[in-house]
Amino acid sequence: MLTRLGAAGEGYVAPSLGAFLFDPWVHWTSFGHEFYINKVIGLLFFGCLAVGAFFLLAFRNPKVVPGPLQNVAESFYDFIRNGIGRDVIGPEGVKYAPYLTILFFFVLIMNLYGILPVAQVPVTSRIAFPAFLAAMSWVIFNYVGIRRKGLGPYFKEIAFPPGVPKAVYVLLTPIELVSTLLVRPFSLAVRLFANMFAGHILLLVFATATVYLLNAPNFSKIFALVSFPMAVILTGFELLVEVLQAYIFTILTAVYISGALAEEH
Amino acid sequence: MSAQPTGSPSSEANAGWAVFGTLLAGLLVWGGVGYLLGRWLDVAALFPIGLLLGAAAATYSVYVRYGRSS
Amino acid sequence: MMVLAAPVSGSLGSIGYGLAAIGPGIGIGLIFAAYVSGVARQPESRGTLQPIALLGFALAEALALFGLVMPFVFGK
Repeated sequence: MLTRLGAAGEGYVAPSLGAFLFDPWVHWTSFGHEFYINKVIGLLFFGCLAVGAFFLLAFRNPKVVPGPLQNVAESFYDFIRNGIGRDVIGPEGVKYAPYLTILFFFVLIMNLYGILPVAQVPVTSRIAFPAFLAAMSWVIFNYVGIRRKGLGPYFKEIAFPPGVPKAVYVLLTPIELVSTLLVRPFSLAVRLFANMFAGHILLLVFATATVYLLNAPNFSKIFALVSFPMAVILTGFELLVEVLQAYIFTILTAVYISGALAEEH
Repeated sequence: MSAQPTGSPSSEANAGWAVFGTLLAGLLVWGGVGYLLGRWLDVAALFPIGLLLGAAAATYSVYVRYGRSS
Repeated sequence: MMVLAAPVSGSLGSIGYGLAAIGPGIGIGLIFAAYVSGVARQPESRGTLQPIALLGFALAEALALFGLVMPFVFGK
């Protein structure tokens, strides 16, 4: 009586939320709160140090004729400054290029942990990190807009699209406010989180399925020949997704800043 | 925001996400109002009515912000 | 008797949303495909085509979002 498809022995256990929970390395209690340091936090600290150290070393002693490290860092910075800062925000976007550069490389390394050996978990697949980065983008674009236009005109521009009969504003204003002030940061955070989360689950499914199939007692072993190449191909696909998501997160932050700066027409 | 840099290659994608956000917000706001009113007044039909109203208002908002060729 | 497939359990709403997302997915693909080829042939028509493409996208996307919320309306 075979009741479940593919049930052999104890059965294949699909990866679940447990794959994102790690045992704490250290934990302590202070100020009435419990603090944990686990693999994710360790990777976060290491990523911060790596990005910070790279740019500090590269620009510590800048020269007119750059050395190899400064050369690489400058081409990275140019890519963000011209490709995102100037093209999306305009001439004054150069002012925001340092933040956008650091944001891009921070998100990039947090994403790339997903396929780096040893690390093997994207830090951004825990919602707290994308949520905090999105909150920072939210604070920045609102601050920039309020400073440029003043509190009243800024919210007037968000809430009241021009050229609409007065009575319709009852319907439109709540939608406009919610879409700019709530849906925007939410979708920014969830887009990054969901891509990393789903991608990591996808890799885990094919990797664990390969191991499971290789240990299968019968001819099912040959199906490992399917799942193993899929795991390799999807690793390459994940590399693409991780770079793309870091880029999209940065470019959307720039778009929101440019929207807050742009004059009503 | 109405001002999208129409020259940059990614402006359609940005506008697309903004359209998506507006539609989602329309359904959330007026669907939510309909749901709460429906629970309060015990009229089950208010939730779908609110959703339809929200979708219509959001589509109109998209037309106002992005649909009129400037 | 040998039952080969596992019984369907879990949320039917998510299956319904998966089915409901097919149509708008194809529709949005068609809209932007036509837009891309239009702009590629005549780059100066971009300003005219963009509002039309975005309106078409909004209408198709509204259907997908309806599919997303319908399980909440009729579900238990």
